[in-house]
This record gives sequence, C-alpha cells and structure tokens, in this order.
Amino acid sequence: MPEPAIAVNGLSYTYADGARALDGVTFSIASGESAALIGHNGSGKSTLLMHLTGILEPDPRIAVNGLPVTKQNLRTIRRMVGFVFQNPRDQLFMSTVIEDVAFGPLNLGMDRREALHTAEHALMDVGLDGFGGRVSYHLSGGEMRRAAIATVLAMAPEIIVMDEPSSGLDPRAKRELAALIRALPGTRLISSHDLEFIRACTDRVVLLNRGRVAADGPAGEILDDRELLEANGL
Amino acid sequence: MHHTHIDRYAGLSSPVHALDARAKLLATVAFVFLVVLTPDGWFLSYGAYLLLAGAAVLASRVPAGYVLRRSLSIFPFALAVSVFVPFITPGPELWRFDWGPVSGAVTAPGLARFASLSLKTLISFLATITLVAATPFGELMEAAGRLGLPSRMVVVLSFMYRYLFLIVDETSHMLLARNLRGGGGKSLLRASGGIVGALLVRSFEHADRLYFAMLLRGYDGRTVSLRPFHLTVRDAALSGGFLGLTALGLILGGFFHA
Repeated sequence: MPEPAIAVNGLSYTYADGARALDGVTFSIASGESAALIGHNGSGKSTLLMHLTGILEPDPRIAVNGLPVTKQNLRTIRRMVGFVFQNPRDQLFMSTVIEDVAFGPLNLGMDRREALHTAEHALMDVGLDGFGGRVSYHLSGGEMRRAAIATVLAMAPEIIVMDEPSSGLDPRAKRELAALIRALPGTRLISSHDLEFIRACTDRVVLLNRGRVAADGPAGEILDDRELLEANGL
Repeated sequence: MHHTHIDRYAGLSSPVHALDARAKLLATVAFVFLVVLTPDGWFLSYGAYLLLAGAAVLASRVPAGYVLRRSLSIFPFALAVSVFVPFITPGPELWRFDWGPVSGAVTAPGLARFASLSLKTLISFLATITLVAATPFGELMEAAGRLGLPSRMVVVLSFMYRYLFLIVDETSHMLLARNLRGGGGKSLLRASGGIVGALLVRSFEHADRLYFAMLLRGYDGRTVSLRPFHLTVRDAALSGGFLGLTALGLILGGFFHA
C-alpha cells in the first residue's frame, strides 16, 4: 500500500493558555485525494492545519508522505505542502501580484526568467492572466484569494492545504473557487464550515468536534446526515 | 478602499522614470549633500540648484503642483529649526525690539542665513520628492539594498509601505465603530486608547502570520528580486551630467560670492 499523503496519528495539542485544541486526532489522506476538514468554530481545524507545516511546534505524530514532521524535516515538508492562509492579505506581501507569485520560485533558486515564467503560468492556472502588474491590495476579494492560491501553486507542491478559502467570497466567486480546487492537481485538504462549498470541491470529509474526529467518510454521506452535523455544532 | 499613495505617479513614463533606480538614488543623495554643504549666502548657487531641481520635476512629468505641495507640507518641520536663526546670529542689527521681558534683534547675517537654510531645505525636498514620486517604491527599496542598505532594513521599510494602508483601513474601521456606538468626551478618549492597543496586537499577529507565509515559501533571510537592474551608459551620463551641473552651480556661486 502506498504511503498516505497525510497521516495524523493520535495528535493532541494544548495552547499555552491551557485551551485544549486537539485531543487524539487520527486520520489519513491518500495521495491525490480531495478532502475536507469540517467543524464548528474552534473545533481545531486551523490548529490541525498549522501543524501540518510545522507553524506550531513540529510534532512527529504527523507524517507527510511518510516523513514525520520534525525540525530536521521542516524544509522538505514545507516544499511538499503548500499552505493557503485564511486571510489572503497574509499571503500577498509584495508590491505587485507577479512579484508575490514569483517570490517562492525565486527562493527555490530559479533564475529570473524561469521564475517569471512559472509565476505567469500559476496566474493562468487560477484564471488571473494579465494580473501580474496589478497591485495586490487593489484586487477584489475573489481575485485576492486566487492570487494567494497562485503564490502556492507556483511552488508546485504535492499537497495543497487551504484554511477557510471560501470565507468572505460572494456565491459566484465561491462556485468558481470550488471549480478551481476540483481542477487542482495533487492532494488537497480544505478546512471549512461552508458545507455547500465543501460538497462542491471535495469527495471526502473529516468532521472535527472539540478537537476530536467525530466522523470520517465520503462527502455526500456525511453532508447529508443532518443529525450528525447538528450534533457536532454545524 | 482606495488610498492616494506615494506610488501614484510611479507608473508614468518619463526620462526620470526610465533611469536606473540606483543611479537616481545616488544622484539625488549626492545632490542633497552638495546643496546642504553649500555655504550660506551663495544665492547664485541656490538659483542654479533650483533650476536643476525644477528641470528634474518637469522632466519627470510628475505634476509640479504635487511636488511643491508635498515639499511645503514638510517645510514647517524645517522651519521649526531655522526660525530662531535670524535672532541668534551675531552681526549688524536690522531691527531691534524691546517688549518688556522679551527683547532681541534681527541681524542681517541672521536673515541671510535663514533665507539660505530655507532655500536649501526646499531644494532638497523638491529633489527627494521627485525621486520618490518617479520611482516605484519597491524598486527604490531594492536599489537601496543593492547599494548596501542592510537587507533587514529594506524588508522592514518595504513592509511598512505595503501594510500601511491596511493599518489605516483598520484604524478607520475602528474609529467608525467607536463613533457609531456614541459616547463623547472622556469615553471617546478612553476608546481611542483601546484602539491603539488593538491595532498593536493586530499588527503583531499579522506580522507573525506574514513571517510564516514567507517561511513557507522558502524565505531564508535574503530577498531575491524579479526586477532586472541594468546600468546603461545613458543612466550614468544623465545622473553624472546632473551632478556635474550642480557642481558647476556651486563653483559659480562661490566665484561671484567672493
């Protein structure tokens, strides 16, 4: 059996202020799968996602492509996992869109021409061709989200993780984003509590409640189980 | 929300915009040094500088009114320093006043010095503001980095510029929220303290996430840029010529002053 893209084995985490965010979480995501992490506010979704790239202290109870998340492996793991932040403003920090998208490729050691080419390609993939010269803080919410995704795509990650990507988007931008996520290559893990959005872009759902896995199964099955969702604060 | 920002005229195309940012930055800094170090009272030199700075403004196609307004808006700060000069410079008295406990005199060399200081300040502002207006901020920062400004300072300055608007937005939202929930006088003041605190915390958390966003995209302390920098003969000739004319102005001023 091939190594799962993401394997979480009994992960617990307590914040410094004593709030228990994760309590023995176990699940795994196969390579190429498009999965969702759903749960009420404060269920531990973001904490879990942050663990995947070692933003919180590296924890070897998580493995990415079989590689435990440890300090030594962080560089390799961060190359494999692309993280799209909840607020695209956190992700767009350069003065123009193209500079932002090319930031990662340049850091990977590509030369200017190559980085520019990669960045333009990534912008095309998210439907923002011709936006390269635009100033990122003048983009609309939907455009900003796409640009943020492009910055991650340009790094060609094997796994893409997104934290609440549909928040703040209008219905049409949401539909377009769901279609975009569907079309992305590689493994996808999307955290959200926007159930319609999740139905549109993932096949598998892991339901969190108070830091524990409450359900794990095919998206349609879980999203149709009103009782289950209700019982878990959704 | 849209803001008038300092890059408003950076997208124009003009001979000044086309100059290599490093050449522009060096020429401006050298120009300001020459202006500031010119002795007091060399008014012919100041005239030459003013012509040169004016020519740079015109060549940049940045509206002259804009450059002048911006220059004058920082002028009071310089004035605060130079306003006492006419009274404290020794020399022949032009006008003596004696109002009870306050007495003093305006002297001729004092007045000349005051005029010199004001002109030098204005000329330096004109040149600097033209430079900043006619160069995209990111490019200017990168040029400064390539000329030896420590990379950390370049990053801090670039982020300050990048996120200033966000902080202004957040502030205006919080001010609006405060005003909508009423309260006047003292409570308003107390709320303002809270806003400053909230802004600090928000900025701090924002910076934290931003740093992670950079780390996750392979940042290792060095910024690599997309922009090619090419110093052409034209760049060198134009900035060199500009400085040459400035030096000529200095020499002429000294010659006629003596």
